[in-house]
Amino acid sequence: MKFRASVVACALALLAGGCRREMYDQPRLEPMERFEFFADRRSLRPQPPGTVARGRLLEDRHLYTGYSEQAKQPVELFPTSEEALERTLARLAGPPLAESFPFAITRRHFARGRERFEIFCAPCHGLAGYGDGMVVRRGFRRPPSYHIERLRQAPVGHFFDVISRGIGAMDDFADRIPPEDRWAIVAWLRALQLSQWARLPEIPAGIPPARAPTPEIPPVRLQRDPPAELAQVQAEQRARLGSYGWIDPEKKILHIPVERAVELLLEAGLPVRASVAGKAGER
Amino acid sequence: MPQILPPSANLAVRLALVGALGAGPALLWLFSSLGGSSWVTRAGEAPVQPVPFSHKLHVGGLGLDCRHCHWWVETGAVAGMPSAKTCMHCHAQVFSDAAPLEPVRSAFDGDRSIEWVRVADLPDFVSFDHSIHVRKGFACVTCHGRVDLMPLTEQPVAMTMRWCLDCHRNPERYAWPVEQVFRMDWQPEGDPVALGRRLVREYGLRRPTDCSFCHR
Amino acid sequence: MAKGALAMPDAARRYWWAAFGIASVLVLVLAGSLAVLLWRGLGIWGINAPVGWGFAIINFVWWIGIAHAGTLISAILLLLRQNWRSGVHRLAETMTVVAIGCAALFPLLHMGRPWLFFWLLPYPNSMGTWPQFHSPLVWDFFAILTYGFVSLLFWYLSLLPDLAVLRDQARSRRGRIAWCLAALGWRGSARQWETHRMACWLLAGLATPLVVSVHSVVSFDFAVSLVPGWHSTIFPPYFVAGAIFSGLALLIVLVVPLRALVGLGERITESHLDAMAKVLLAAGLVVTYGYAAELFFAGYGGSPYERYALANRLSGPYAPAGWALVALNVVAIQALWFGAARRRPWRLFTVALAVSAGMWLERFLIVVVSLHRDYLPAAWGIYRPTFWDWATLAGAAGWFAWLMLLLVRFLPVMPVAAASPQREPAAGSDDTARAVHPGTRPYGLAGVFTTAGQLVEAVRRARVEGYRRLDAFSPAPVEGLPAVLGAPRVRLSPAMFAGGLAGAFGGLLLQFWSNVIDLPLAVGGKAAASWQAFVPVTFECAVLGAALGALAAMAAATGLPEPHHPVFAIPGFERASRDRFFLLIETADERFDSLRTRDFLERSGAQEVHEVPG
Repeated sequence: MKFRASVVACALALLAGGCRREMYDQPRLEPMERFEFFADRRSLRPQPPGTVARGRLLEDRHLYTGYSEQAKQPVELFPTSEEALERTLARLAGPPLAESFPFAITRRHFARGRERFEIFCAPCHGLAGYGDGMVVRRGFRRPPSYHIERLRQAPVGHFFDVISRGIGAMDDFADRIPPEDRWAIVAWLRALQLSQWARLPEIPAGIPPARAPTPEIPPVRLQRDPPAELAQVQAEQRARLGSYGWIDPEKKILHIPVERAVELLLEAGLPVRASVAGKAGER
Repeated sequence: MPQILPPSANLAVRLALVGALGAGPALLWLFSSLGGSSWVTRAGEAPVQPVPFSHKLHVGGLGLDCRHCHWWVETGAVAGMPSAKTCMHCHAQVFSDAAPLEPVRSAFDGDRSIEWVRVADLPDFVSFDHSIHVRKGFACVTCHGRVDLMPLTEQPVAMTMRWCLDCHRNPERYAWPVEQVFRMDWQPEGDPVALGRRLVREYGLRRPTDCSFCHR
Repeated sequence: MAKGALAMPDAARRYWWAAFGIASVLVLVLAGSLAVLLWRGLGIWGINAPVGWGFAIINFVWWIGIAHAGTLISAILLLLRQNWRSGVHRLAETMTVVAIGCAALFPLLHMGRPWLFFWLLPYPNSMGTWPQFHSPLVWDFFAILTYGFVSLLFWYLSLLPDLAVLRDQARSRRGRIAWCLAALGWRGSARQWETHRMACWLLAGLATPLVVSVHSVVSFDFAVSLVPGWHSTIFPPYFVAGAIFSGLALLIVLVVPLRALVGLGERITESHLDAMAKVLLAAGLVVTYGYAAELFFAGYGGSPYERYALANRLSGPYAPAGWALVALNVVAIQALWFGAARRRPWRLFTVALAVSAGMWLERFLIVVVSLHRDYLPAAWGIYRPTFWDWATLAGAAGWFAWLMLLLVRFLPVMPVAAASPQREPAAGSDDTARAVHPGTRPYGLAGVFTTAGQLVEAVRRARVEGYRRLDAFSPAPVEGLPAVLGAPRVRLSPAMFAGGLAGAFGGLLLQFWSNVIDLPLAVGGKAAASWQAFVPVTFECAVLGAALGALAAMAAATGLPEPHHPVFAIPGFERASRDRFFLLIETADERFDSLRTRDFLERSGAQEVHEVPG
């Protein structure tokens, strides 16, 4: 009789198996589990305003904001010269964007930057940075190409600032990309820019004479085979990043493999802020 | 004295007896196969989500990396779910007024979270950490399947303890090179067994099967 | 239902109904407390840190101990040829089966989620795990499983001829069918009797080491741990003796009122009680020796924890229980040195009742008092049983009583085969039912004899005449009948040996494969392949295999179950289970000739000769 009772209980337990009661869902909260205690039903709590998380004081302005430390210059309330006026206005306008990286950029940072770039940036900006990513091909506003003069001249702090705070249609990525990774992405942007606008002392032989076409974006339409299109677009972008070709034969400007660009940047060295420049050689 | 039961009773009683003896093993078999079956585990069933999100579109069609949305996966125990803000980054412009995306917009406007239904739900008595698995060469697709082919997300295999242990005992059968773990379609070149053995050596993979390794 | 199982005077019937009523109420209490337990969980019991084993484990050990006395009387005393057992062995066997049922309830409930009990079985589950065969708790599961199966088999086997009696005396058609199915078609043929006798004998041989192993394994649950007061090598013999002690006591508690009420005085005499009382005294002295040994080990061993644990039993917060134990288990039985206490049923009953309670207290002392103060004084605590603990205890007792009352009422409490035929047979069956269909070849001719001697003589003569296809049916085994029949010897032991060997190897293989090769888990720092840990389960598997082998061999030798057989159509065959002896000569015999064979049977002294329809 007991046996039969247990069989029935087993059968009931099996029938109820789909509900997964018992110890499957315990009273404690799993990350991101719904929690009725709070009004927003989040078990994962947002940081309360006006608090600083441990280790997140972010004192280093250069490292965490992309703006250089402001020189301690005297401010005159009533400037007596042009120069003093300039100084005061600059001070009032805020600190200038950083021209240098907060730490020395090594091969490791390029690799990391490339990886993060391809995860977070490439969907819109494209693998080669021409602003022709897949999302843009689906109707998102096209971002500017990195390979325009304005952005080639922009200080590194600009890119860092854009990743951290967003610009135009681009949202910020501060929650998803930690500052060190943002700088690595900036380093990778520099490599991309060099690879698509390079002047070489010796032009390698065998470069096709035709100028590389500027990537164009077809109008948005219903897709027949999205994975195939994706593969084709990525192959084109990678081809551009992996080969030699003319951008501007008159000015002797080439696009070169991005690996070569990384080597060139490592040889020349990317600018590092003064406080750590001395230590760069050691790393 | 008349016969109480007809001759056919002999066969019936013997069959019933054999049946009773076989009932125990048969029940065990039933329970064990039912317990691991998709009817109980709900493997291969896509739960109804507040938004009919398609990994097939976003991963297979747009080529988004897993980490574009699940960016905790390399450092955290859980892979994490994107905030409504992440969704709205694109959907502020693309399909910005599509009806199925209404929960996303209202969550974004009201500073709430989209209440997704967990698809790969391990029991609470198991401690699982994504970061160590992806760092030691265990790919997303090994457990979650080819999400780039799933219009609605489902957990393709039942995440039973036997299934966990299979890999914990034989990591060489499942390890991928670390740089490939976020790929959807990677295939080993050459002998997969030799590669697996090499990776086990290279990554120093142990074969943890102690109870307390997962049940902490 | 058969009224013939137990002739009950009206007064007894009233007592029976009263007892049954009380037991039914207690069964409802059990059902209620189990429902609450399953619904709300183990928290309704008083168990908590540090006493994680409360009433459930106490009751389990108590009930399983009680079961042991049944096996002792039915098996060990059979092997020792103690004839006084015949009066009480059916009752003892019934008590064993019911007590195992009660005992098995508690570990199941104590698991918390009893509906998942099958997780203890070794089967390829979705967790990819196997039972941990290094653990005494798993040994326990196998031991109780085997013990329950063998006890049930033993009980049923000895009941089989009596079920045939009930079938033959049943008045209603439904009752006849039910008893016919229950008796599996027992017809009392010489071969069946021979097989039955041998099977009982062999199963007794099997049950004797089994019963020792079961309570040893129960004691390992405690002794293998490190808790002071448990961690002792005296535990297995001490537990086995305690089990027999408590079981005998409860048997006496059952027998004394029963014989008074039902008038079994001539079947269970004062000398039966005397013998039981002597065994009770002997078992009690062994238990007393166990207590003394525990004290000695604690004192001589020099472990302060062990010493404290023992002192705590007699001086700690549970000291009243400790002293009550001494009074009930050690002092009270000293009365049994005197014949006046042994031969007076109600005096013996009082002592037995004291021992039953005392043995429950002993388990309380072992389980609770050892746990409530162990190595870490910061974790000391007091165990307080809740209402539900008491309700489950009382309910289980009620459940035991309820089943016993039903079985005693409706099944023969004495082996009927041993009783002398006295009563008139049931009303004869109607003749129209056994009309032989013309054209069908009869199965044979049957002669009816009134004494076993006539039957043996007739069989001998038939053999001389050259008849070979013979069978003889009798209400009890007839000495020398199988030899005269010239039937091949019934051999059960080869099948049992093969089954035992297969069980042992299978069990050993299972344990080695699952715990050493497939899932080696280090527990308690023991090596995965420490073979000593595999001995108990290997033994239990061997016994289980042997019992199954015996079962198969019995089925093969007797052809049972066979509820339909041509001989049942012989007119008056219902008396084959009571007071008539039948000789059957089959038509398939070469020398069969309906006239000459009929003539032969009549000449051999057959009272009547019937044609057996085919």
